[in-house]
Amino acid sequence: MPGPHPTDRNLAALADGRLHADQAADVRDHVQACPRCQLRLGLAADDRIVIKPTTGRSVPVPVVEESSSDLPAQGDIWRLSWETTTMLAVVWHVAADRVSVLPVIDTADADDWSALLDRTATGGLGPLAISVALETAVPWAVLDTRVGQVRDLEPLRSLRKAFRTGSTTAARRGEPVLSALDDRLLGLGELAEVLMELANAAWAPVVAATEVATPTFDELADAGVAINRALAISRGATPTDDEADLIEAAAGTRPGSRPVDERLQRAIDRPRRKAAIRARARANRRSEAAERLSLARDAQPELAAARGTQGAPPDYDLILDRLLDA
Amino acid sequence: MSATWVTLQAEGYLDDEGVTLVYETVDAVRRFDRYPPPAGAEAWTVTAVQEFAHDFLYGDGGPERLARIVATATDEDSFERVLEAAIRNEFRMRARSTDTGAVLRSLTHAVDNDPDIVVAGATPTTRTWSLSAHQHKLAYSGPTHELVEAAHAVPDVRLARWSSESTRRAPIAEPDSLRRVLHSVLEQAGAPLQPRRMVEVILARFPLTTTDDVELTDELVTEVTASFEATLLARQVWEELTDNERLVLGVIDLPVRKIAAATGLSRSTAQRAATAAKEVLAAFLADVPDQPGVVAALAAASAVARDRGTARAGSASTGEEED
Repeated sequence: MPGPHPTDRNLAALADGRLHADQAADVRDHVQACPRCQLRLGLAADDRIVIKPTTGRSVPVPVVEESSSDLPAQGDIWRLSWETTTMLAVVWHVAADRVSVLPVIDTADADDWSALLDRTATGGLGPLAISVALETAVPWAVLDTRVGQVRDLEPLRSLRKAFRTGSTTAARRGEPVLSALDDRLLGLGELAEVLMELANAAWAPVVAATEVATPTFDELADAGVAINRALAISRGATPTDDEADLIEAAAGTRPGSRPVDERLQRAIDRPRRKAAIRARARANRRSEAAERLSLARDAQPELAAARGTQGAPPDYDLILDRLLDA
Repeated sequence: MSATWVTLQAEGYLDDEGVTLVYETVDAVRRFDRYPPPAGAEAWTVTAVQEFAHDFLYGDGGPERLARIVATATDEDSFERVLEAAIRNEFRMRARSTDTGAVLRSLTHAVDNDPDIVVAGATPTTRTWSLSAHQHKLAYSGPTHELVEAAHAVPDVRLARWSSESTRRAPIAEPDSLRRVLHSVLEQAGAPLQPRRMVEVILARFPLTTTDDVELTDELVTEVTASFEATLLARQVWEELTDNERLVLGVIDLPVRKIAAATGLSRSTAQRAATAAKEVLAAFLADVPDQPGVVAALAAASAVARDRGTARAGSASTGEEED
């Protein structure tokens, strides 16, 4: 199916013939391949209203200042994003490979395991509801930007402890869900799906993914791969995307992925690189996961080349900065 | 693609294009999720859409809500998606406190307990109900009035008996009657039906907030110690008022925002009703000696009408379980 579902606004515009030709073609292509959107279009009320463009009604918004922090800390409010999924969450525990977060939920969906924080505690983000029941460990790759900080962690700490141990708590929280008919369950269920998507945001292959025999040096050289790289690849290095294209064109088989060095993976997943990687993915019309993997493939031969120099010891951070600046 | 999000981040305000985006998103969500028009209005209008959008933008916590949306988004596309989700949540939250929310919950309860009705769709936005014979067809997209006619055509529908003392919502109808009405509507549709469309049909079949049965009884008049003449005049005035005017009468001296909150009407509808009610009162009470008695009797009846307006919202529950 091509791309994410269109918004209701775009579906309505398509139905009413208000979309520009290019956008209409994109939305129409999606709808033709998507039963969910076909259903949605079929269910629309037919009482069309013509909304005219507005003038002179601009609204001031107290936009919060985003921080370029690279290291999440307990109590930070971060934007998490992966592909088209995005949400706010409070960082609770930071580990080397994953970060445990408490999701910010809509106050309309707050249940008795959601702490209610007033506007004085959230640094410009207004009253927030934060679920301790939906605490989730997510990979570093989804950390996008720090957008604020919870000023008093005690309510969260107390409610989290009550959820885990059954202890009493004085934290201000939502009303309990007492019935399966409570529509907060719908919102909380959708949030759980979003969290699952973020928790499973993986891009680096965990095992050697190919059983295809490694091409020989001669085959690689004949395919047009540079001599030094042909030697490296024949000895086990991972081809870059461009090299893989050459090999596939010559041999008819694309070489598979190999595990990415853990240090390289962590360097790629540093939050400060997120914006540049997403921009590069958009420019290359690739998914964020594919872009990260491509970046890893580009960085590994760079590192191998750097080993032979007399300068500073090889450093993935330097290599990645150079690749992303290019 | 607009530049609303970029402008918001850089300049700190939602520009005209952004406000139009909010209007269009409110309109699209109400249209696709089939939310009924605001209380007191017969249909969605540009004014009703703008009023909802203005409450969203300027109402309590509006600017901070926008700040959260901006902080959550990563680009223009995700801004539109996050905005749409926030507007959908606002609709849901409002529906919870209205008849629509109560009716949807009670219909969901009835359908969940009916083995002949097939529930399909993984999310609330794609959920449908159908009779098993029609479950594989495309969702119903025909006119609502045909379904309402099918609901009215069901014979021997029994409204539930309910104590006026009860603080719980009254059921829509006796369970068997409601079941037959649901089946008749689904049979007429001959296709899966979105729950919100069923709510429209049920609200049309069982109007819940009429004030027709609220009368200026002797007990009410006695309670407010109006004179005999005042009572007669009050009854005359009461007959002249529309449903909405009756609802606002007892709170007519409050600001429009508070009248709207007390009656469940939108602000524009409350404003219109209050203005019209004042004109009726002015016409009837110009030379009346016992004005306080008439007004007190009318206010007492209005209070009953307001209570009924919310208390009579339907529920298919038996009254035993939590809702």
